[in-house]
Amino acid sequence: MAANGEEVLMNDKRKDMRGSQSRIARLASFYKEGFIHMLFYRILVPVSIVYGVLVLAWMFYPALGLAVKILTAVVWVLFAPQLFETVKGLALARSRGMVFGHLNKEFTSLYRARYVKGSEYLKVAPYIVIAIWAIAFIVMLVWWWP
Amino acid sequence: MKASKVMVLEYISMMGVPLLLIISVIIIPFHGINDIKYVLMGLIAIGALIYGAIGIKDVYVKGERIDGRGK
Repeated sequence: MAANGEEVLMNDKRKDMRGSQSRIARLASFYKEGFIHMLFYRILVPVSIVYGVLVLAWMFYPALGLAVKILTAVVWVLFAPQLFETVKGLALARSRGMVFGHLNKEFTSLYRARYVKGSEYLKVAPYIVIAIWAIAFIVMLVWWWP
Repeated sequence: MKASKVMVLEYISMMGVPLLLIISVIIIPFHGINDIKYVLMGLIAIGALIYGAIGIKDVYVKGERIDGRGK
């Protein structure tokens, strides 16, 4: 194994000091948000396929409406962390790392003064989206019927 | 960075499915019109299947990157 970090990450087993990259439980000790995101994603993946098949089946057998509603609620909850992280990532990219980034303070100050002005509002974007998502969830539970 | 086609598809479904679900909630007053409801639910189903299929490869085929880089 080489001392070169890149080579360690690029080898076929995808392992480094932190253990296998596919073992997401390691995130729990230092990065709760990332852990929740990955955990929900792993549950959502198979559920998403079942949901897709169920909705297609419902189109031919409308009696499956209740099952579609229940699974929609499950998918809705599982999608929440994905949506939050997606919007957060887009805000990070849009603001060139000024929002949600972990950059050196001096560098950030100089970079913002020169290139990125007025991107502070992007800080609230993920929270607004997740609030809309939560309100729509309640509306869905009460009034939405497939 | 140049995004792979698979990644673009994943991002479209990742943002598209929640967007379509929100739209389906907004148009609750028009759910009486079956055509609108069926088209929307059909798109949601296709999006969910694409998202799930790419996700299986993404997280359950261990140690492999979906764009084939790093081999």
